[in-house]
Amino acid sequence: MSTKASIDMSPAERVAFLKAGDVAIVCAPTASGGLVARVAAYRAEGEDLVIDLSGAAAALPQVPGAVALVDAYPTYDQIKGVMLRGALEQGPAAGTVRLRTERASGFDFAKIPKAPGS
Amino acid sequence: MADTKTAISPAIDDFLKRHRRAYLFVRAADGSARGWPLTAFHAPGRLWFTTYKKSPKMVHVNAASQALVAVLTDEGVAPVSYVIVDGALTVREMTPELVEFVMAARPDDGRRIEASEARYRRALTAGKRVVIEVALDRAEHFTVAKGR
Repeated sequence: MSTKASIDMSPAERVAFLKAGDVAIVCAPTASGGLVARVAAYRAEGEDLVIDLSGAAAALPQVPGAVALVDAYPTYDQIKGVMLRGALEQGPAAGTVRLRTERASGFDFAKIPKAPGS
Repeated sequence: MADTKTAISPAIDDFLKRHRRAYLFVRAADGSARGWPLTAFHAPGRLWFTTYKKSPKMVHVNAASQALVAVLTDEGVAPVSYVIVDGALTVREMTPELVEFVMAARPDDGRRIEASEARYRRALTAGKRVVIEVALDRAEHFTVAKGR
């Protein structure tokens, strides 16, 4: 019986991956029952993100129930990504919001076992 | 497959034809946003995604009737340019016609390997995957000043 290998990132791996990146796609619910999503520059503080609200990112509201995705796809075998869920709150500086992360997950395709001979 | 009249500009439609790096977002039952990175396949008037029926995301996708999709320029391109699509969401069973469409539409950018191609086709034809369709009801184009 085979055991499916886990491609999950550890918390330390997620933190390192977020620190190495600088752009996230952030989506938040709106008061009218819809969603708003924007790509924004960020700075990681552990698994929290301080998000730059420059330009179109200013549309992101300060609300709970937001999600942010950071990923990399140089090759199939190198796909990595982190998904963060939490609340968007006032950021440490004007023109920023903080994603206060409540739940985090990450995946790393490099952890997929290679088939024999591949 | 019948064409669907698109409600978006030709420039945005062209962007969606050329770029596959996408993120699908829906509202969960508790009102929160949920999202996942997926490869987008452009068809007239809609974007398609494939995923496993038993994927955890399907709990939220099956319960949603609307979706947002963000389609981005390729990784490494700066500045990052993207389109946000807002449209009706439909989940469809995989058909032989859709299998051939998806196989033909997969990006040939050197990242695919033969073994994964065969595995991917088997997955598509095994009845384990569905197609998530998002109609191109509304779309807007943005550029981020900072890229990577």
